[in-house]
Amino acid sequence: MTNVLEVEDLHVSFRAYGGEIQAVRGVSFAVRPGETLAIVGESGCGKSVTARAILGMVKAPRGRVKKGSVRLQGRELSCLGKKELQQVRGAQIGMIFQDPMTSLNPTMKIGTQIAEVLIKHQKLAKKQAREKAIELLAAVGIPEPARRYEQYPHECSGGMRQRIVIAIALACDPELIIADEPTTALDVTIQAQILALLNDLQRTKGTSIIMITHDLGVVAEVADQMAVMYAGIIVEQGPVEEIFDNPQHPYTKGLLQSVPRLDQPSEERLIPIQGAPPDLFAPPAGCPFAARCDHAMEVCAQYMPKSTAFSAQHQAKCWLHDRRAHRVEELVSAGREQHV
Amino acid sequence: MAEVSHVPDELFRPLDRSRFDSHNAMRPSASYGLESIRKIFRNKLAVLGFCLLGAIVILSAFGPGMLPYSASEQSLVSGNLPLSAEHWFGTDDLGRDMWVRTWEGGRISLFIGVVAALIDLVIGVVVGGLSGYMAGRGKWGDRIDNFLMRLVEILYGIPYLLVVILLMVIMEPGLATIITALSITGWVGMARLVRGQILQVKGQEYVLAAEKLGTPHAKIIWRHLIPNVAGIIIVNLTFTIPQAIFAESFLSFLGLGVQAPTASWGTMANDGLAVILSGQWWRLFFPGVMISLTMFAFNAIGDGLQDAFNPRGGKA
Amino acid sequence: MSDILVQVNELRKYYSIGNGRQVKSVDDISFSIRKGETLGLVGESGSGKSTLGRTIVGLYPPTSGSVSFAGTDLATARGRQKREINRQMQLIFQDPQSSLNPRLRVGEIIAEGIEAHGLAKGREKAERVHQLLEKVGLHPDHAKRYPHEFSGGQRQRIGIARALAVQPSFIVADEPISALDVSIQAQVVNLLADLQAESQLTYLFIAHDLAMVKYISDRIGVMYLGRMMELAESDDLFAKPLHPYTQVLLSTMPVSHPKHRAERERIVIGEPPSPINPPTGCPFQTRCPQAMGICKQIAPTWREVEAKHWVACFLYE
Repeated sequence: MTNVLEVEDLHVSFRAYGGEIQAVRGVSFAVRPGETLAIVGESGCGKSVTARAILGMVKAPRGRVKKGSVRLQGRELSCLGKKELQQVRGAQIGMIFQDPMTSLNPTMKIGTQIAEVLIKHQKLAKKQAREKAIELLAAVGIPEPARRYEQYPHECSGGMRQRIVIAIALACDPELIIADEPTTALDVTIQAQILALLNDLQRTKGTSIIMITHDLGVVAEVADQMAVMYAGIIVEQGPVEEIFDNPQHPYTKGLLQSVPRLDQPSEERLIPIQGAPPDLFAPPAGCPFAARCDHAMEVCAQYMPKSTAFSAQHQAKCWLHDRRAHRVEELVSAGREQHV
Repeated sequence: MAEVSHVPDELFRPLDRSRFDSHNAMRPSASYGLESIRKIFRNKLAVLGFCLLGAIVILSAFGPGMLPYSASEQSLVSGNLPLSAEHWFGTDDLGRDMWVRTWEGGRISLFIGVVAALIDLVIGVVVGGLSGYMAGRGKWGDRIDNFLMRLVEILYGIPYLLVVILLMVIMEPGLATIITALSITGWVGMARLVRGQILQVKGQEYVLAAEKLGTPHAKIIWRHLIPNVAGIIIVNLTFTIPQAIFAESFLSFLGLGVQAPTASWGTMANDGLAVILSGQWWRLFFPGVMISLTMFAFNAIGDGLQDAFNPRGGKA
Repeated sequence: MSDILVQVNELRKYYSIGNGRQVKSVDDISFSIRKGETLGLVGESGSGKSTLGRTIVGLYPPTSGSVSFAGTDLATARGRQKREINRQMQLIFQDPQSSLNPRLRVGEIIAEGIEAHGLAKGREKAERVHQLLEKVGLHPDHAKRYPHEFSGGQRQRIGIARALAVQPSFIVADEPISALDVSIQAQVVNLLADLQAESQLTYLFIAHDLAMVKYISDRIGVMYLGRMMELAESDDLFAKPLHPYTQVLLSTMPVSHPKHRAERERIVIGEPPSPINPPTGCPFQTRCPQAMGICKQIAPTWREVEAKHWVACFLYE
């Protein structure tokens, strides 16, 4: 089974006044057919930049992909020209961004926007494109699709607009959909519907999805695999259940502990992660999480940790998993008992 | 990324946290004003504008003193001389030195432009500020706002040319008339801008917070509204000054502005146009170029200020 | 009851939007907040929860109905009493970007309330500012800096310090953590909980994240299109949600662990109506899985259906 997408050692940076921001610093992962990979992280971790790099949408001259390879069905994307990339983007990779207001053209009818994609990439005739577009609108759960075809985006609610964006993304039956915070701007009742829709569509069409989010709840809802990003690197990745049950990286553990759960007893306190993410102008040489990590060692500040595998797919980058870290672990646990 | 194999064993001990004291890691503090000034100086076009404007102002002040002639000194034998070592900008048909006249004209043009723009600023800020502040404050507040805005709309529709002509019937043509004419209709743009800004700032959460904390109205205006509106006002000023200068030039060009013997760039351009076909290009060239350069300088500065005052957006 | 700090009675806040139309942001809401408790208020966009919070705190004059603080009706309070009540009720805002004046230093921002109420001057004032900064987990040196030099989480702390400066007894927190990163949210929420214990504060905590609201609140109220649908003790609300809307909300919350995916039964409902054109009768009737004929005609009354558990729904009448 070949991977739908393979990203290897991706590095992306942006020029800004005063230097270069190293937004993505060596990210590697793979997405299999029919699978949903969630890339989780907080603002500034580089998850959105990674998505744009895959789509070839890193804006030159400020931004550039310094290094790394992106392969879709084995085909290298990073060396493609503008036109070829456009072709890939419509036909093979669908995109869903956070704000449906800016993803849709406010001056064009909804139906036309979907039909346009079909005409351009699949070379359908106008009439066929219209029929298919109405089918798509129905498939994403929009009632009265023929009527909606003639309407404009401002006549629809936020949830409905996001469904239309999904319809456009799915129009050409892409192998992969990249969704960047697709539900963040929506109410929770609508969010649930959109996530359920994506799940259904994935099951029926076998599309792979990369879901970018900061919300662990969304990850728990829809993802099969997850990759946790922090300050431009992936600190832990693997099957979702394994990571939720047994997180290996202190940041992942910290995130899971700082998010309230419904089944949590009311006396139990949330344990926040102290501090704030590092400045990516001059990223630290070692592990970027060292400054906030309860278990940090000297080696963490100076050397980037290597990856340790915990199962076939589960891996994490942390010096704590080096065999030499045992004695430190004992010291730290003993110390920590005092100040909880 | 360092390679793993030779990571020394002894580094596997708890981290010394003092190096991560985040409080010390903050960059040196810079107030909003200082930051803005720094940003302006990074904008090359704005810096060019400053230098240009500076040069024009200095020359307008001291230029006439550089040559031994006066602006009104006529010398019929030296009429219409081209550029030379004695007459850097040549002479006009009455033998008056163009260099001196250009810079004295500059004084007039700049004076009218700045004064008219400043009067507009004061009236505009008062009207727009009152309007914006009163909006939403109950029935009377809304009435005041509506009344002032209707006034603004009416005046907006009147072409200033009409006002100038009317005024010239009532008053004698001259410096005071033209300044009055430009001021009467020019303030509406500023008023609208100020009102819009005030409305926007009023809705900001920090203004609501100030109200909740018990800060008296006057202090809210002084501390919260004005400083956050001032930036936009100053930027607008850098655009209204060249507009006023141009308007004055235009009116003077039409003969409705300052009257001889006072000369502004506009009147000089008018005179210069009459003789352009006889080859005396310097008589139109210098006043014309000065008007253009001055307007460009102000606009460049204004653009730079706009970017600099914008807290988050724009470049870098 | 003497331990009620804030009493809201039939509160309404309507906005007219021209052409004789109105948006009923807050439509006939009554409840009370006890001293020392944290009352959570949840609802989706358009529910009116923010407007309710700001009206309670006195920022917006109500269209009708009343808000009382420690027994005194806000509308009738005058002079010194009014100033005193205004001081006692404070507000923390959602957006760390626009809640602090970018032109002022942090110390000046925090001192504003102290100055306005004349609580301290000169050196004493500066000392208080430093103490407040430490209280919220910042450093006294930060007083000299400007808001744009701080992160979102730090700015929220500054906002909290500003509110605390006038020593209020009641704070309305209007979505204080929604704009913050996940790992920072817990920091701020814990800070609020600690401050409450230290200074015996009463909170009205407005948010849309149900799990977070449950974590911090003693009681929770659920709002929909300007009306209160249900109000109960936190544990009760989650264990036994009575109102269909609450049931929908709980069913649509994202799970906390992937293994719960299959277990959760989702209740599917349609699109929300526009607040400008609300449905007749009960505002939820257009989407309610259990709507009956009567729901379309008249609005249900707000009643205490079980001990300390209030609902507005015909299913219980």
